[in-house]
Amino acid sequence: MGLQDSYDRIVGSLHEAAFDDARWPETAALIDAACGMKGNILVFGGGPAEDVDIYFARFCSRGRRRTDWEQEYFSDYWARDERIPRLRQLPDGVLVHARELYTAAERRTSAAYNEALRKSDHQNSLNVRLDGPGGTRVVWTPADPVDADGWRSDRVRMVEELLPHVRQFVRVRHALVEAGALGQSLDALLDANGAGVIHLDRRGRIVAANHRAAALLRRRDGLIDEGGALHAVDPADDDALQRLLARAVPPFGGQGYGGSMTVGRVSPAPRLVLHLSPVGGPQTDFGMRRVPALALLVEPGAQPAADPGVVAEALGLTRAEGSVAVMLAAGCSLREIAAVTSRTEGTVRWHLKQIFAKQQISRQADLVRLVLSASSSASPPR
Amino acid sequence: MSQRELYDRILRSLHETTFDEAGWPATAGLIDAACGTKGNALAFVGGRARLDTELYFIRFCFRGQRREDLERLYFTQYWSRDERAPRLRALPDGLMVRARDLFTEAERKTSATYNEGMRLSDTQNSLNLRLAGPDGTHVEWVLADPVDADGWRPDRTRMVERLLPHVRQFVRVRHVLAEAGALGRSLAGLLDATRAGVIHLDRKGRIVDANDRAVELLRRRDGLSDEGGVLHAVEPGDAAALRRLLARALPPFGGLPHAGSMTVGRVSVSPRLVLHVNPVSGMSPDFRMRRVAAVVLVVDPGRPPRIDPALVASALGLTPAESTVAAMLAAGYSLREVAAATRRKETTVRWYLRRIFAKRRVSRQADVVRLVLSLPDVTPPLH
Repeated sequence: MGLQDSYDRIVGSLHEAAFDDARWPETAALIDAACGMKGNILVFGGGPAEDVDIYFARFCSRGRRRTDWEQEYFSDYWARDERIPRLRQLPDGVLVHARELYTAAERRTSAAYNEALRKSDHQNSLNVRLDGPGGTRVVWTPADPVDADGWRSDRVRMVEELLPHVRQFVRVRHALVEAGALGQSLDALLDANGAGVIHLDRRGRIVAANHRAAALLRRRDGLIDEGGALHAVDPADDDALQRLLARAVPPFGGQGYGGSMTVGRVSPAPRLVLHLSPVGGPQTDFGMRRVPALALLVEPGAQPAADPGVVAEALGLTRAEGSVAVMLAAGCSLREIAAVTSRTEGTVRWHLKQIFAKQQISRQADLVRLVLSASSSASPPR
Repeated sequence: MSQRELYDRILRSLHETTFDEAGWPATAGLIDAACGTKGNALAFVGGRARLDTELYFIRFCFRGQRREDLERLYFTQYWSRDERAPRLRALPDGLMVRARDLFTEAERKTSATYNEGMRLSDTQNSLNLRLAGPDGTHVEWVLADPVDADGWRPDRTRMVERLLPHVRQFVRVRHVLAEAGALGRSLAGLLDATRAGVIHLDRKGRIVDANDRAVELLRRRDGLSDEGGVLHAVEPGDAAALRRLLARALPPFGGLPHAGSMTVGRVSVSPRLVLHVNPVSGMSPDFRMRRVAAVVLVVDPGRPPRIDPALVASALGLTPAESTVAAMLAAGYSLREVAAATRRKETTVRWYLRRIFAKRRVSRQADVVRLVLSLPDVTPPLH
């Protein structure tokens, strides 16, 4: 394979790996073959010398990721690797032999050099630092050459050619993971708050739904999933819903508008509250392909049970008082609470009086208000 | 500058533009110079048939400037009747075709697109090509007429060819990043509707972003504050506990992040603030977040919630008078206070309450409060 072909294949592979991390070892192996090296290590980090942060590390050897080497290096050697502060000082894009990053004395005594680098075939590696965004840096170390030819000029040249692409791969991969992770976390938080979230595509089809929204759709009590499309059971509500969808996701792009409505139920439960929010808007003129709109679904009165511990702490209550407060807020009567907790109604009433005194309130309604706000954002289950 | 140097410069510029599309016209200008063309038009398109076509991203750039006037002109006047469009969509991936070869001889005499639109935008002698994207999408790229009489010299087409994979990757990544960013902003907006204060923290516990409710809380310094960009609890005991909670959510490299909750004492007599710290972690646990590493929710239990009576009426099936009573009860008013504020007799208010009980099949004020407070804080219904 010619040099140009190798380069093209590697760049193509890097482009795909940017969207799928699992493909990096395969890409790394292509690079190893083209540059005649036994493996390579890629690390993305940031922060000042005294407070370094590692975001991403990949040790690869012969086409396989070596998580064992990663763990060993970062737990046993990284903090005392004499090379690291020097590596951090290197100008952007300059290739340096590993041995030159240690003094002659260190090469005799350094545990990192003599143990970790030997084990991972890196004593004759090339080391390079590449500037990343916002003071971050990518460190890449092509491992020892595969044969006695060593770092031939054609091998070094290929490494040099690939530097901008390796840097870009790390930047893109990390930006994509970060953006996706934030969205997932926000989705999970909404779920934990009792809010259903449905991701909708341009045709009002359901792309994804969090647990709560999926459960609501399965019950077919107001909103349904009709062959992938979001519909209301009641025909008049459905007309309104489809109008709302058309406003949020206008055909052929254009500015979408959000809006809210309520949706009647089959059961006698209160109507569902549905809020449509277009994704995108003034911040970007990129048309949204996957999820141009989100639907927020709230089922009145069906909030997740509050955590008595959190409520007790927030309102300065004892554990027993916290339980009474949480059960009251969930709609239980004093008699029901007494039955569930195997206490007399008098005891429960006494707890309630204590709570009232502590919070300086006088009505159950006030207590419900306090409990609901104190527990309205419980952490997502893990 | 040699072609090699030009190529490297274009790549650097494309790589930066991937994170900030404002750099595209300048990058397009570099590409034009290297390929000897007067400009270029880039579109990211989805859908297989014309009726199903969706445009995600369009950039017509000439001499390093974006030409929105030409974009509008083409898409309003010509796009729907451009004879070339279906043929362009059927081209093999990456094959470069002259514009004139995408029109029949008869069309070249009669086509409004060819004779007006493309003449105006210097693309009658353009190179046209299609690059396949994910899920049936594709990138359409038109390189405008050559700058001089040399036309499409082999070195120019060779340069175009070498740039193709990079242009395709730029469009793909830019679009996914823009989508993910917009989705995150919208989800954050929905979280706003749950009445919580939301604070985004970076790896070091520094405040990256906060919604209006959280900013207001931090500004009052009544429990929580922003100390030089770091989230801080005002009471010393709470401050230490908050630092521990954040350390657990934002562990050093190799550690597993943990969510946690705590309450924070106030300077005023208000109830303690409730704080939930949620680490952000993605699909692969060994990727650590740099920008937003944790989302903190802050709730002020003492603050009367904003309640929209119209939403209450619609969701709970109440009349305006009934929903006003329900909303005021949820905001902490007693029946007597509701009567005084609405200038009604207490017995009238009581009668409304009984109607609410009957409609919602509940029997206690607390149940009404629970129902009202479970409604999201969103704009009023449209009806």
